[in-house]
Amino acid sequence: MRFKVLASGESPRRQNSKFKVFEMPFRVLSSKTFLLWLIGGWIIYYVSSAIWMRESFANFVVGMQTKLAIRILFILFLISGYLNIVRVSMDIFKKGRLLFFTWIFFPLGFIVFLSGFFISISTRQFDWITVGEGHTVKPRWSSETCTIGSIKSGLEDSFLDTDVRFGKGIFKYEPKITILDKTSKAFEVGAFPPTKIGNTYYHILNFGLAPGIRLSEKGSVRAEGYMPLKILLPGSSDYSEIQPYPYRFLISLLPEKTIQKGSETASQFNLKKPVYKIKVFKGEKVIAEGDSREEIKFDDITISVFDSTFWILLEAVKDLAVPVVLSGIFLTALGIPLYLLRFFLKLSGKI
Amino acid sequence: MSSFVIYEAVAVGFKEGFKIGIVWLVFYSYLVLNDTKNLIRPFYAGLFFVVAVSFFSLFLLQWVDVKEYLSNIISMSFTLFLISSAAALYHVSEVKLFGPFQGLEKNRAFMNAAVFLLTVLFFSPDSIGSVLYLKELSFMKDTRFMAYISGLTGFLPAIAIFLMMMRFLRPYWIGSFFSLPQLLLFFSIVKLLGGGIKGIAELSLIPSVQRGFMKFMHDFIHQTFVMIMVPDHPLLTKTTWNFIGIFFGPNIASVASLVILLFFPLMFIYYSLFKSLPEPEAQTGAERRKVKSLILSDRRKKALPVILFVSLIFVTWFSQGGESVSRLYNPKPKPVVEDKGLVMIPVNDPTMDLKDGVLHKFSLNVQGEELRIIIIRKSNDVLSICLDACEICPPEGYGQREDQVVCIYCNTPIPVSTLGEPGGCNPIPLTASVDDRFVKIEVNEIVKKWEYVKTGKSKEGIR
Repeated sequence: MRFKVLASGESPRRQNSKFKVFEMPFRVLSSKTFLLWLIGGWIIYYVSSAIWMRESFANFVVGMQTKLAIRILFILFLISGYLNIVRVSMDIFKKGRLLFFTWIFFPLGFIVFLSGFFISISTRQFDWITVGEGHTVKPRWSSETCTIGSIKSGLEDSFLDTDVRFGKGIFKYEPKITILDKTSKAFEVGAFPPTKIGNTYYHILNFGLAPGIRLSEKGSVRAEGYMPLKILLPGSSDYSEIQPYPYRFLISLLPEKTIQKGSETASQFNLKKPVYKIKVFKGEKVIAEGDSREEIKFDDITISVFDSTFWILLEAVKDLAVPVVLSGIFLTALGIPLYLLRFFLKLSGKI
Repeated sequence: MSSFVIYEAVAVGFKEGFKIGIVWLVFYSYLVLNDTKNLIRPFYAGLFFVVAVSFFSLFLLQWVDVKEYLSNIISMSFTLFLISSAAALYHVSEVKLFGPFQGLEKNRAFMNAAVFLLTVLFFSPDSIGSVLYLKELSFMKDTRFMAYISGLTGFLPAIAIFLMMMRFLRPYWIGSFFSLPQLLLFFSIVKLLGGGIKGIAELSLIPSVQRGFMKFMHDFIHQTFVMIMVPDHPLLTKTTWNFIGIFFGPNIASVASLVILLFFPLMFIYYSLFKSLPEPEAQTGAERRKVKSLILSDRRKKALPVILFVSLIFVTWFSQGGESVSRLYNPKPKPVVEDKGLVMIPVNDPTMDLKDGVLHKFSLNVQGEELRIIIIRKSNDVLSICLDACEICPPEGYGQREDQVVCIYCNTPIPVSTLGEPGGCNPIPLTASVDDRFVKIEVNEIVKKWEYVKTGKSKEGIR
């Protein structure tokens, strides 16, 4: 029997060429050199794109969604990142636990965040849906239908335009809606954070007033419904149409009264019983105008406002990566002060 | 010729001379100390080439045509030197980054070619830019050569200063502050602080680097907000924005950008001052201590220029750069009127020139409502004609900051080169016809597109 002399520190297993084939990619991926080349390459790619094509971040995100080469490189970067963390962790753990715990959270959090970023970019689906009370919502990917229960506007019943101008706003708090799932279980949904119902996250993106408009022609009602408009901010007006009629309606909120204090004038708006100013356009010409307290007549048509409600622009999102991204942010936020602590402990020679 | 133009030409010449002088002084000293003095020849050859190219560019190129390309090449070379310095630092400290390319520095032909090419890359865009800028200044007065003479008046004394410095300072002493990573970092800092080619208005690259970093920060934060579903336009997010909106502010973006930029230089300082010393191979304890002390002293010496660079960047960031970044040009809209269903805006009249690269705003009164239009020349000389509003934000409009327009409401910077592309926070593009004399836009087009401002695209389905 012959014995082979091994190089110092080399295990018998490493000598086996079969294992070497498997070990080599692993060694490359877990090497700091490979990771640094990937990071350097990305910086050059990003800066070149920023300098010569401008919208570099958007290009990168679109590239991650559509270009296989960018996806593969990013996956290699993530694998290399995790393997490097494991390799360095093992070394640091041997040197001391305090050193390890003050080091691990920041790089781990960052790589977890980037993993979430990749999963989110690759798999996220979303819908923007405008809804009112009683409407149903069924995102494209979901088999479950939810119902909008109620809308709590969060608005002051009456407010002054000067409040808005001076930045006080018109909201008492943020608007909320109640969504009922298929078992009629109620969920409260606001702007942030999103609420998860089934496999879908919901949150409010936008919000506004929707006056109920009735259109009658020669005495009989031809169309009736709510028009979602962006007219909450005093002074703003919004257009809408009723198909197939060739008219456009320019609508704005009218103040309930005007208050004068010294030289200052303010308009008070009432959102409980809003009054609207309506201009009717045919082409570029105004053919009628009036306010919502009376009927507006033009050609053989009569327009009237019967009610008001609120509309909500709801974002529905299916994204597996949300917990991963949040964990990444949490770990990174925890890791930054620990990293600084480690630095100062090292400076003072305590570790 | 006004005295301001003369001063500006002198300043531009002095800056270019100073850059060449200081880079030569440091590079020559480094070569002398490292016993590779023969590499100064390809450096001189590179400089000669740069001078020749700059001279010929005077006759062959126009400032307006190449300004953007030159700026881009300068930014790229700054980035390359900065990244190379970090790579060199890693390479000499712990990680052997260059694998199969290791040892190339001993190949004379390769090193000669590398020094020549890097010299050309480093100096030529700046020199061509400055020469063309002087040419631009020379058009401002009948005595055309005065601008060039003033430029030379600034250039030559700057060179003379460094020649004299070399007589009085020993190259060994200067070279001892630099090893390869510090040298490359020094080149990138010279580029950063003196790479501007727009005369006194922009002497350094800091404002454009700042804009680039701040755009990155803005986009990164925006993407993070999208992922965790924070509504990123503060239409109704009163509570959320009180806390999270701070990340979108210019201050956070500016500080975060500075941290990213200073990451490499600070890494240098950390390695120089705090990294543990290698155990020397000496016989006795006293010898080992002596060697360690020498290494430590050398490291500290080499940290000094880096500390100086960091301080310089820090000061410039919050003085010159900060001002440029926060300055937003927001002109008052000029009223225009409808004529037979058309709005006609002159391309050039005694009060304005739509092709001057500056943001122009116009307002049209339709049924008592003010609809605003913006016009700006893009780098390809095409006029971009848009509404002064986007589909997302309330229509507060846009201001101009250098080569970007910025949404006044949500502070999103949008490169001028991307204007005309619809969607997102970009201004809504208008279809218009442009001839030599007028920009013609149909009123119907303006009114129809203004509806997007208020309704957005997303408001379907409730009826």
